[in-house]
Amino acid sequence: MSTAPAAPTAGAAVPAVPAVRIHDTVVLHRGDADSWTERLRREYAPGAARRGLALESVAREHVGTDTVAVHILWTLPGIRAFFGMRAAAGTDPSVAAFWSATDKIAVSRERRVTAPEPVVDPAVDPALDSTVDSPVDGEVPA
Amino acid sequence: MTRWVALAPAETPVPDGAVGGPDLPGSVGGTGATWDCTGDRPPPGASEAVALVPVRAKAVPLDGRRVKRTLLLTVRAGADADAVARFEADLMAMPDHITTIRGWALSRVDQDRTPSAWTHVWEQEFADVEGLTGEYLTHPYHWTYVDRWFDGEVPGSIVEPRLAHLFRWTDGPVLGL
Repeated sequence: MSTAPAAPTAGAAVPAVPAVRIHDTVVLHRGDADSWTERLRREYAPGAARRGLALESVAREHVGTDTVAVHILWTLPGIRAFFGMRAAAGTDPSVAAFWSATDKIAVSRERRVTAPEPVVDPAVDPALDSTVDSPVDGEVPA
Repeated sequence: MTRWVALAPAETPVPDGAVGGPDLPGSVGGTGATWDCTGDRPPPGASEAVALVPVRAKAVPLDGRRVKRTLLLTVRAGADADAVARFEADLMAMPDHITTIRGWALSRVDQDRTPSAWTHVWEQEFADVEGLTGEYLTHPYHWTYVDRWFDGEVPGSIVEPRLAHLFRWTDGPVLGL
């Protein structure tokens, strides 16, 4: 019996992968953003990768005249991987040291963990694709 | 009468008046067995025992054998009292979300009677191990919300990393029935 997943059908929910998303937002004074981001990549990201975290994106947002928010998105393949990552981070003093140093210069910081919702792929169900032209008032589709 | 949770080596006979047994594989931070009892004194032979001051508990009827899970944890010294209250409330809301939790109890450790590094004991009963390792572990209320109190990488977390997460089979109710 085949174990291959069945092809999605129109309107079917497509399971989102990976299962766990971790969003870090660190608000910094503008002059600290470059050096902090470099430290993130050099000091934190390698250990994070060993704990199973995949770095999906780093993005900046100006949130004030002199402040920048750095948004980091990490993902993990599943909930057990999440708890495994948590256990590993809890016993690694370099993790606490990195965030302690960050908190000394950050205006604010937060971490949120989210569970992706299944998404509907508009390529599978064109009716849900907002880029597809909609009929205007008075137009009757054939 | 005081309720007690005790840790003991796995081979230690369970004393009269207590119920207990060896911790199941997957348990972390214990000494091999967990005992529960109610009385004026801790069960003899335990390597560690804490006296419990109940915060809240709910007894839920459940026939037969069940899995008793005990989590001993330490709220960081100096944690804000309002944060501790929110943490406790968030724990006690878990049974509203996680259907496999049957009876449950949240207690503080009586530091006058049993000075201990542990500050809280969070206990549940499940019909089987899967109730703990399945829905309890994987429910988003747990890992997207409650876990932030435990995660040292989250600003505002208040729980020390060292935990004792212990579960075992027991023949009958431990929490309230």
